Amino acid sequence: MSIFDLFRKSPFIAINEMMKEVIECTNRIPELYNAFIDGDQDEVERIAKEISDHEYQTDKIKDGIRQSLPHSIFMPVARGDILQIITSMDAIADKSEDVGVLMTFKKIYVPKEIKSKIKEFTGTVVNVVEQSKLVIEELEALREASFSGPEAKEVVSLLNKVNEMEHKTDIMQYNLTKIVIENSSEMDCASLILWLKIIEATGDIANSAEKMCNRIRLIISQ
Amino acid sequence: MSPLIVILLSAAFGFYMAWNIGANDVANAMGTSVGARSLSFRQAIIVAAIFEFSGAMLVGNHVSLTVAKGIVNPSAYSRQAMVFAYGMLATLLSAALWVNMATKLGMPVSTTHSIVGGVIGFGIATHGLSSIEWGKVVTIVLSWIVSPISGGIISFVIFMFISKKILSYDKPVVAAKKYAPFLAFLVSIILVFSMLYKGLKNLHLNFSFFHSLIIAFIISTIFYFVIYRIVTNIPVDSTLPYKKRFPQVERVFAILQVITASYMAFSHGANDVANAVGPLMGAVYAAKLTAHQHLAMPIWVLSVGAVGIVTGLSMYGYKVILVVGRKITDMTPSRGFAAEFGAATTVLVCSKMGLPISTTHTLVGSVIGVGLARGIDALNLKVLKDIVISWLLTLPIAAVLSAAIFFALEGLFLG
Repeated sequence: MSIFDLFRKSPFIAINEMMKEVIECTNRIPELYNAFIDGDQDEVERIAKEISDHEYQTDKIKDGIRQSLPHSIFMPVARGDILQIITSMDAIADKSEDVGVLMTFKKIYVPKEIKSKIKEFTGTVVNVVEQSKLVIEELEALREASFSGPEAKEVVSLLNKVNEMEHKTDIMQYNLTKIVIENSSEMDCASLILWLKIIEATGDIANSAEKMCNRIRLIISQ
Repeated sequence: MSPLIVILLSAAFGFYMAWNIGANDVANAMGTSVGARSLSFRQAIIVAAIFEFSGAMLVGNHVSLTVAKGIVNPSAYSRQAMVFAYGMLATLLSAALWVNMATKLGMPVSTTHSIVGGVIGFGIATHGLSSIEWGKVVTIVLSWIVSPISGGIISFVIFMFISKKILSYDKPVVAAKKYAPFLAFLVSIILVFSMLYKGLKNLHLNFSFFHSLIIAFIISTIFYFVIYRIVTNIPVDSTLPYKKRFPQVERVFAILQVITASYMAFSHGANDVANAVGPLMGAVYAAKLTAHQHLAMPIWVLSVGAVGIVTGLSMYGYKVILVVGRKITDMTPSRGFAAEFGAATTVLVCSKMGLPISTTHTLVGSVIGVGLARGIDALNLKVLKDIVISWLLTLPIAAVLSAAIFFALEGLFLG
């Protein structure tokens, strides 16, 4: 028998690939919002379609990772942690897709105060995901450093930043929701529901990224 | 058949087995070094040839003697020594047949297990269950369980040391350079000691335990300073960001891994040569019993195995090393060092104790040990199941085959 039967492909490589697709989804969120606020429904549909395509790619990579992780595979990281990480990554892409799809349903009234605040909100959400991508990219180096020492400290500081930024998105999300509610007399019922759902789904993008990062924190503290 | 012909046939098949070991098994021992790029392909062949040969010649007789007279006692056959010689020939034939068959079927079987099974098989077939030295057999079977575990534990400890003291240290390159000479010293003292102590009998150099230890200590101290000089020349670039320093750490370990690769080849030669030479020794014993000669083992017997391994390696084994090396890319030199150190130490100790074990299984145990120390991305533990099945199958099948071949030989030539 030969010793190489023992080695399996590292799941970290595929996780990095998946993250690249995820970021393709979230990076389109600001332009999606711009098109939506401008009332350009054709553009909204085009971007939503792009996001949907990338979401499909992340699903495919996710399934590949799951299939390559039977119980007989032994890793330096608990199998449950890896599975939770890819589930949260998948949720990031899913929520981005949701935002796109929700926006294609109807052209709705945009309160004036929202216009100025929405840019900051989407920008911060995208930043949270960008920051989480940095964490994912550190996984390989983290393993090389055997999950401790200065490398682990660096990753923990990245994680702290993610948590901080995610907290900011939460506050912005509440403020936006409040504005929408205050302007509810200006719109019909469907528009109100749609607005609330869109804002919630956008906030969930950052929430999922945070959830993923918290799992990585567990790996380090193991 | 005359005793001479039986010996010549055994020598031919022993050479064939040795050729097979050189062609196929050496790759498993060297693959981790080539995979980690510590040794170029050409260097790996040279290291393997030199150290497999010296391991077989210097330490190979312990395990070979166990196969030749430890499992089935030849003195029980003093009235019919040719039966014993045929039995040994049958063992070689059955092992060759079974290993080839299993390889065709894609089963990972061990030559060691086939040979031990073969000897037991013809022993039972000729003199019944009582002819087997069961105490010895139990020790051997236990060593098959213990050796992967021992390899795993040693590798685990070594890698934990590397991980705590070097990889997670603020200045990993500085730490690596500090500890590298110590690690080299450790390998060297075990290796040199085992060469000297009871190793150079054939050169009529019989060192006592303490003399061997002292000489090994002196040589290893010199070696310590050589490695010290070499690693000092590796530049430390402290301006690099932390992450970028790992390649430099691995450069230090690449040097150490050349040493463990030699160690691995030496241990492998010392243990696995017995699979080829053990039965041949048995046949030579039998022939001497008939001629009422003194039971000393001529040096040509071990040479058949040593030369056979190197021939197999140079004719075919290099191809297998290339393939295995390409597939093992997850092993960086620091991981490879830890794995090889644990495996080679275990195999060498077992060789000195005369226990025939599987080098590959021990290495598998060691790699898993490194994995348990969080050193490797993904390991397929299904291999463990394959290992257990392989020996549960190999022992009875090799035993039955060897008994059958023995009866055929007996019917043809002794009847």
